[in-house]
Amino acid sequence: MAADAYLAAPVTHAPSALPGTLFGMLRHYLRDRRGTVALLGVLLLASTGAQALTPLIVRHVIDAATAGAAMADLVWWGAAYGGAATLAYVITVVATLLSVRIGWQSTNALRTDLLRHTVRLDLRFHHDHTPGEMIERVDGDITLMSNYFAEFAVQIVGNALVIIGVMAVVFSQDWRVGAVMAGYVVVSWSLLLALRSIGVEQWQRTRQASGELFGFLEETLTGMEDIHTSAGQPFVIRQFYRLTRRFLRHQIKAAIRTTFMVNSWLMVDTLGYAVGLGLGALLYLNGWATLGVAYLVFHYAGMMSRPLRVVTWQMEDLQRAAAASRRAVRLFRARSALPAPPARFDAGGRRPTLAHGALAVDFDAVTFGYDPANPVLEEISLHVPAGEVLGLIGRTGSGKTTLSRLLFRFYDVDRGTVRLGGHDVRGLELADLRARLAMVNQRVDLVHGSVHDNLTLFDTELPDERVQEVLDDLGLGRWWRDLPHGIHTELAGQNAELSAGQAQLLAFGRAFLLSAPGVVVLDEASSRLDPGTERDIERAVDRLIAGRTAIIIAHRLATVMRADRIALLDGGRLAEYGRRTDLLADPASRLSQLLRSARGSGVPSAPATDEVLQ
Amino acid sequence: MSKLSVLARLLGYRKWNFLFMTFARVMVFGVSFQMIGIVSRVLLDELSGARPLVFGPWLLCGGLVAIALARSVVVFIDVPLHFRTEFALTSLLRKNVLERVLSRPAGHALPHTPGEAISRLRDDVEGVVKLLMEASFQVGTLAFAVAGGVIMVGIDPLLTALVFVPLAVVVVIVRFLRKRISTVHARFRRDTGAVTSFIAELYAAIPALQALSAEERAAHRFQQLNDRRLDGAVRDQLLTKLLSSGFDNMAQIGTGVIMVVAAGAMIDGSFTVGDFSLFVYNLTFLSQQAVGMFGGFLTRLRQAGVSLDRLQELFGGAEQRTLVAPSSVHLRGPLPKIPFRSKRADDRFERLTLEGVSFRYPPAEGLTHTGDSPDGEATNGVGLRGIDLDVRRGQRVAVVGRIGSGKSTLLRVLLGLLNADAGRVLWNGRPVDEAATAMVPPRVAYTPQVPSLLSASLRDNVLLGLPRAKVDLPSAVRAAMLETDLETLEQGLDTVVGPRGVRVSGGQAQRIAAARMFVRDTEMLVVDDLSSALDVETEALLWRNLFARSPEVSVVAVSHSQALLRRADLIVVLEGGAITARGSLDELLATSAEMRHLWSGAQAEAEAARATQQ
Repeated sequence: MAADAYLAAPVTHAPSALPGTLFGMLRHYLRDRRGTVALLGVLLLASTGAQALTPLIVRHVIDAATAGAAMADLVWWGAAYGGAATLAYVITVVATLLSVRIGWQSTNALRTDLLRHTVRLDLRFHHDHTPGEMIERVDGDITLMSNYFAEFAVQIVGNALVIIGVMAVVFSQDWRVGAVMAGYVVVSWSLLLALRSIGVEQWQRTRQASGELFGFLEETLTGMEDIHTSAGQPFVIRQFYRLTRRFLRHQIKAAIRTTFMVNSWLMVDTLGYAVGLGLGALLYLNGWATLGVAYLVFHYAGMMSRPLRVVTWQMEDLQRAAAASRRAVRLFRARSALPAPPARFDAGGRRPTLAHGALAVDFDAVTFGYDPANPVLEEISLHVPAGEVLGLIGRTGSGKTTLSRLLFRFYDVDRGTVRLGGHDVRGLELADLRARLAMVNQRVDLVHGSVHDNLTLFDTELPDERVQEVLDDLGLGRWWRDLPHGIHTELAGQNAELSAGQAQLLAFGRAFLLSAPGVVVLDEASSRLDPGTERDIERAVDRLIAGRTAIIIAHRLATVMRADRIALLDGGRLAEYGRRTDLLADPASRLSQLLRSARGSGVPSAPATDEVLQ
Repeated sequence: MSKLSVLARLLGYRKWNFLFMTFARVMVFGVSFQMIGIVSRVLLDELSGARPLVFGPWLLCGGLVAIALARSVVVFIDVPLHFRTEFALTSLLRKNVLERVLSRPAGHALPHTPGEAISRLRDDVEGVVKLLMEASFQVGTLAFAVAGGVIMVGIDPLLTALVFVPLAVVVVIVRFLRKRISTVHARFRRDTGAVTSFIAELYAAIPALQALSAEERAAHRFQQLNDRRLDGAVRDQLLTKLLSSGFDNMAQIGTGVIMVVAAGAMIDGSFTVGDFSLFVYNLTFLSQQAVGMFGGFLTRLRQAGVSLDRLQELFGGAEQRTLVAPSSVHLRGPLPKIPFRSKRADDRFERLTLEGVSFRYPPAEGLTHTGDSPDGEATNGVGLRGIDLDVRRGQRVAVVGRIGSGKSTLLRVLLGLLNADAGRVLWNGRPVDEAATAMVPPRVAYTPQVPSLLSASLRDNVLLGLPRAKVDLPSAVRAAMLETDLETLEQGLDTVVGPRGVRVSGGQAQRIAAARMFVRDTEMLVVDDLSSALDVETEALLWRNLFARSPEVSVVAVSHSQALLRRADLIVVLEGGAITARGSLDELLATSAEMRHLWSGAQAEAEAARATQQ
C-alpha cells in the first residue's frame, strides 16, 4: 500500500534544473558569469566594428591611388588603418583570455555537477560503468566541451557578428551587391546548418568506444599484479587491440561524415570568392562601381567566407564537443532508481524521524534481484529488535551482503519492505537514513586523498585529534606516526603505505568516527585481519556495538557466536532464523547440523568448530 | 636519442601514409589555395586594363569552382587516411607503454595511481601524435608560402619581405616563450593527473561514499582539484590560442603597411590592383592560417616534449627508442593468437631460496601533499629486513604474522612484483635476474589477498587467454570451491563480473582468482590469505583436496588456517618485516610468543563459540 505511493512519488532529488540540452547547458553554466559574458560581447562588437570598417579605408586608398592622389595623404590613411587593426588585436587578446577563463570556469562547474549527480546514482548504475569510463565521461568529454565553451563565444558569435557587420557596410555601399551577398550568406549558412549535426551521433558512439577502451585500460593497470602473475599480458594486449579497433571503426565513420561537411564548407568558401570576383567584375564592367568598390566586394567575399573556414577547421572538434555534450546531457538524465520519499508522510504532514539510540531492523518478505528476473534474495523476513545482535551466515555469494545493502538503500527491494526503527526506509530521506547506519566492509576502497580524508571521507571539519584517537584505538598509532606527514600523508598509489589488513582497520575507523549510528553492520569486517589483531581490536569493536543494533555478516560460524539471533541464508533464501540459544539447543537445526558436519568432515584441524561441540 | 628523432622514428611507422597525406596537403594548400590568389589577380588586372583581356571573368570564376571540386576529392581520400594513421601511431605508443608496464615488476610499474596513468595514456599520447599529424599540414602551408613567395618576389621583393614578417615574429615569440610553454603544460598535465586519479578512485569507492553520505564533500574536493587545475589550464590554452590564432589581426596591421607602400607603387604604375590583391590575399592567408598553424605547431612541439617525458616516466627508464619501436598494432586482419606456453623440463621446481632479502617501500610521495614539510624521511609500510628462506620441491610453507608485519610484501618480493633492495632470490639455484619474467606460469601462480578482476566474463577472468582445449577448467573450478557459486549464477561461467568485479562478492572474487591460479597447473602456488574467500571448514577441505590431488606441488601461503598450519612443513613468523621464528607448529607454539599470540587469536573464535554452548 505504502509502497505504491512511493512509486508514484515525484523524483525530487534529481533536480529538474539540470540542463537537458546543449544550449540549455550553455545557458545554465554561463548564467553565473553573465557580467563577463556581457563584457566579452562588448569587446567582440568593438573588434567586429573595426574588422568590418577598415576595408573601407583600403577602398579609399585604391581609388585615390588609381586617381593619382598625393602620397602624404595615403600615409595618413595607412596609419589610421594600422592603428585600428592594432586596437582590434589587443581586443582579441583580451577576449580570448576572457573566453578561455569562462570556458574552464563553467566546465569546472559542469564537471562538479556531473560528479555530484552520478555519485548519488544508485549502485545499479555503477555496476555498468567502470571507473575508467567515468574518467572519460566526467573529465574527458567535458574537456572537449571546454574548448567549445571557450571558442563558442569568440569564434561563433564573433564571426556571426563579423558577417552582420560586413553586410551592413556592403548594403551601405551598394544595395545590389548587398542583396547578392545576403543571398549567398543565407544559402551557404542554411546548407551548413542543415549538415551541422550529421556526424554528432556517430561521434557519440566514438566517445563511447573511447570510454570503453580507457575503462579497460584503467582496470588493466589496477589489476597489473594479477595479470602479471597469471601471465595474462597477451590476453589483455589482444583485448586492447580489439577495443582500439572498435574505437577506430567508429571514429572513421564519424570522420567521413564530418569530412562530408568540411568539404561542403570548403566548397562554399571558394564559391564565395568566385561570387565576389564575378560580382565585382560585373559591377565594374557595367560602370556601376569603381575598381576600389570591385576590390572591396572581392575582399568582403573573402571576409564572409573566412568565418566559414574557421568553423570548418574546428568542425571535428565542434562535433566531438557536441557529441560529448549529448553524453553529458544523457548522464544528467540518468535518474537514480531510488525514488525520493513523499513530501508528506504521516497524517500530520510531518516527516518521519528516527528515534535516538539503537534501532530495530525489519525485513518483511523481501525479494530483490540485480536483474529482477533473477532474484538474489527471495521472501526474506527477519526481525531484529533494537539493541540485539544478528548473526548473518551463509556461503559467500548467498546474498548476505546484498541484504545489508538493502538496509542502506543502495538498491530498492523488488517486493516487500525494509524497515529501520519501524519506518519504511523508502519513507526516510537518504541522508537521514544513512546517518544512522554504520558499515564496515570486507571491500575497502581507498579514495584519492590523505589518511584523514580516507577516514572521514573528505570531512575537513573533523578535528585531527579525533582521527588520531581512533587510529590509536585500532592499534595503528605507530603506523600513522611513522608517516611523513602523519595523518595528512597522501595515500596515493599502489597500497605502498598500507597492507590490506591495515586498510580494513581504516574501514573500522570510518565507522568509529560516526557520531550516532543506531545500527552497525559488520560485513566480513575482520576477514583480512590476522587472528591476533582481530582479538586485539575486539574491545574496540565491542564498544562500537554496545547499545546499538548490530548485524554481523560472516561465513565463519565462530564469528557470529556472540549474536543473539542467527539467520542462515542459502541461495538467496532464509534457510533458518531464530534465537541462537534455541537453534543450538535443537539438534535438528541447520546451525547444529553445520557445526556437526564441520566436525564430521574429519578435518582434524578445525578446533574452532570442534570445541563448539565438546 | 633526442626527442625530435624519437618523433621522427614514430612517424616512420606509417611513412607512406604520411607521404601521401603530405602530398594531399601540398595540393590543397600549396596549389588550390594559392590558385585563388592568382586567379583574382589576373581577373582584377584584366578588369583594370593592366593586362589584356584573355580569360574573361566568367572563365576565371568557373576555374575557381573547378579547383574547389578537385580539392574535395583529395580531401575525401585524405581524411580516412588521416585517422587510420593517427590510430596506428596512438595504438603503437599505447601498446608499447602497456607492454612495458605489464612486464615490469608490477609494484614499481606506475609512477602514481592507475587513474593518473590513464591521463598519460590518454592525453599525453594524443598530444604527441596530434603534433605529428599536424606536421604534414605544416608542409602544405609551407608549400603555400613558398609558391606565394616565388610569385611575389617576381613582382616586388621588398613588399614580399614585409609579407613574411608575421611568420618571423611568431618564431621569435615561440622561441622566447618556450620554457614557459613547457612549464605551464607540465603543470597542466600534472593537475589533470590528479583529477583523473581522483575520479577513478572515487567511483571505485561508491558504496563507502554513499553509506557515509559523503557525496557532497567529494564533489567539493573535486571542485578544489579542478580549481587547482584551472589556472594552469587557462595559461596553457591561452598560450596555445594566442600563438595559433592571435595573429589574425596582424594581417590587418600588415595590410595597412603594405597598403601605403603599394599605393605609392600603384601611383607610379609599377604595381597593379591585381598585384595588390595578390599581396593582401597572401598576407591574409599566411597570417590567418599559416602563422597561426605554425605558431600552434611550435607550441605543441614544446608541449609534446613534456608529454614524451611523461610517457618516458611511465615507460620506466627504458631506452627511448623502444618507446616507439615499430610492430603491428593489428588495426585490421585477424587478431593475433595468444601463445600457449606448456610446461617444459627446465620449468621443474627444485628449490627456491631467498638470501638476505630486504625491501623498503619508497617514502610516501603522493601527487600532492596537504601537510607542510615536504621532506619524506620516514618509511611507510614495514617492508622486509634480511629475509632468508629456503623452499624445496613439494614443501608447504606458511607465513604468519600480524597485520602490517610484511607477509604480503614477502610474497610480492618473492614473486618479483617488488624488487628487493638487497639480497637475492634464487630459483633452482639461479638468480632470478629479471624476477618479473621468471616467477610466472607455468612455474608459479598466485592468488592475491585482494584480487582485481576485469569486467569480462567469469571464464575470461579465469583463463585470461589460455586455450580451453589445453587446460582443465572444470577441475580448477572444483579445486577453487567455485562450483556452488556457478550453480547460483544464471549464466554460469559466462556471467560478467562487472567493473572491478562488483557483481560478485569479495569471497567469490578470491575463489575466481584461486581458480585462475589452479587452472595454470604450476609447480608452485603462492597464496595470500584465502580466509576471506572460504570458511574455516572449506579452506581446510581445499588444502586437503589440493595436497591429495597434487602431492608434489609446492606452496608458499600466508594463512592462519589451522588446517594449513598443522600440515605445513615450515612456518615462518614475521614481525616488523623480519622473520623472528621458524619451525613446525608444535615447535613454534613452544618457542614463539608471537606464534602463541596468533594461534590463541585463532582459538579465540573457538572459545567464543564454546561460550555459547554454556
